[in-house]
Amino acid sequence: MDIKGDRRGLRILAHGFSNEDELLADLQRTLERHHQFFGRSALVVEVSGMPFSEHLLGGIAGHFSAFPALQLAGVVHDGQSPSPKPVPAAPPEGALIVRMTLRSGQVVEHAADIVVAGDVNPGARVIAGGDVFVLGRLRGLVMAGQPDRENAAVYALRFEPSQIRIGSVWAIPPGESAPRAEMARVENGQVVVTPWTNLPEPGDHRSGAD
Amino acid sequence: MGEAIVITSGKGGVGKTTTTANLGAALATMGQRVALVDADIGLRNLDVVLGLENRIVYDLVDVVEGFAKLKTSLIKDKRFENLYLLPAAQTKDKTAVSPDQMRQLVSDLKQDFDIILIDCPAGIEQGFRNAVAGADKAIVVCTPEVSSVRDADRIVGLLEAHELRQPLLIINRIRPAMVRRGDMMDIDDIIEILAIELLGVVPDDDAIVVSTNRGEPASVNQNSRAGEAYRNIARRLLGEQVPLMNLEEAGLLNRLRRMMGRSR
Repeated sequence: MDIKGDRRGLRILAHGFSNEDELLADLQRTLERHHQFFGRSALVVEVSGMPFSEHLLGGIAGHFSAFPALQLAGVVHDGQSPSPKPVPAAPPEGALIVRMTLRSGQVVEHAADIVVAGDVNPGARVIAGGDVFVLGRLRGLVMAGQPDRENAAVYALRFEPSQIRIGSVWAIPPGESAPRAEMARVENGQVVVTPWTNLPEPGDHRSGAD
Repeated sequence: MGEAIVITSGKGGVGKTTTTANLGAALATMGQRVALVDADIGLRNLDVVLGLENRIVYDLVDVVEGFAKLKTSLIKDKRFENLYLLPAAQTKDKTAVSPDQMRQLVSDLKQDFDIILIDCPAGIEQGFRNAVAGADKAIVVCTPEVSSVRDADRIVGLLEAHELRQPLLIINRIRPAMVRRGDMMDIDDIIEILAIELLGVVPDDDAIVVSTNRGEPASVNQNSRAGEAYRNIARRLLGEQVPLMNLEEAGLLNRLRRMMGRSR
C-alpha cells in the first residue's frame, strides 16, 4: 500500500484490491512495517473499487486497535473528504406545533421537528426526530434527533432542561447559570450549549446565519 | 342548581381533606348550603376531621348501590346550620364506584345544595377519575415543595384532559420565615410553574393540627391564621374580592394574639 501525505495529513491508499480480505491483510502488513514511521499520526485510509461493508470497516478498525499510538481518522473512498460516519438521512418534513404548556407526565413525540408554543415543565418529555424549539421555558426532558441524528439541535427561550439528548448523546445541564435563550447541539460527541442570540430580525431572510 | 368543586392535589398529605373541611365550614357559616363528599373510599378521613365519625350510618357506596337514600345518608353537622357530609365507605375500595355513578350522585346533590365540595383521594387512578367525574370546577392544593408542585402540575394536565380547565390553586402550609431565608419555594416560584389562578395562600399553623385532632374546623377559630386564610378563600369562591393577607407582619400579630389567648 502507498502512503501519501498532504495538508490534510497522512493517507494510506488501499487501491487495486479485488476483495476485502486481501485489502485487510495488506493493511496489517503495512501497519506493522511502518508504524514506527507513522509515530503518533492520525491516518485516513482511502479505499477504491469496493463498497464499505461492516466487515471492511470493522476489519480496518481492528487492525488499527493493535497500534495504540495510531489513530484512525477516517475511512474514505478515493477523492472524497474524510467522513468516518455516514451522515444520517434528513428528518421527515412537517413540524408538529404544540400550542400549550406541557405539564408533568405529558409526552409529545413526533418524527420531524417539534415547536412548543408554551413551557415544557419539569417531568414533561419532548421526543423529536428533528430539532426541538421551545418558545417558552424548557425545564423538562428533551430528546432531539432521535434515534441517531446527531446534527439535530434544541432551542429554548429559557433553557433549563432537566436532561437533554441529541441523537445518542446525553447531557445533564449543571443548572447554575441564569436561564436565558440558548441552543444545544452536538460537537465532537458532546452536547454544547451556546446563547441563542442570532435570532433573525423580522424581515431578515438571510440564510445560513451561524 | 348548585356547583360541584373537586379538591385535589395528586400528592398525599398536602391538606386536601383539611381544606375541604375548613372551606365547607366557612361557606356554611356564610349562609351557603354545603354538602361535603368524601370520595376517598377505603381511606375515609373527612368524617374524622369534622368530628362526625361516630354518626355515620350509611355511606357513599350504600347510596350508589341503592341500599340507602341520599337524604338519609347525609350527616348534618349540628354546629353549622347548612353543612352536610356524605362519608366514604371504609370497608370497600375505589372500584366500588364508577365515574358514571359519581356523576349521578353529584348531580342529585346539586338539586339541594349551593356548593358541593368533593374531597379527592391522592393519586391519579380510579379514585381521582371518580372524584372529578361530576365536578364543574377544580381546586388544586399544593405545598411549597418541589415534589408537591410536580404532582400538582401533573394533576392540572389531567384535569384539562377531563374538561376541567382553569383550576384554582391553593398554596398550603407556607412558612414566611423560611421563604424569607430562601429555604422554601415562594408563591411566585410555584405560580411560574403551574400557571393557574391563585385562590389563596394558607400559612402553616399549629392550630390546624389541634383542630384536626379535635374535629373542629379551624376556619371558625378567630385566632387561627390558617382559619382566616380559609375564610378569605371561601369569600373569594363566592365572588368577593379579598386581597391576599400579609403573611409577614400578621405573623407577629398572630403570635402576640396567641400569647395573650394562652395567658387568659
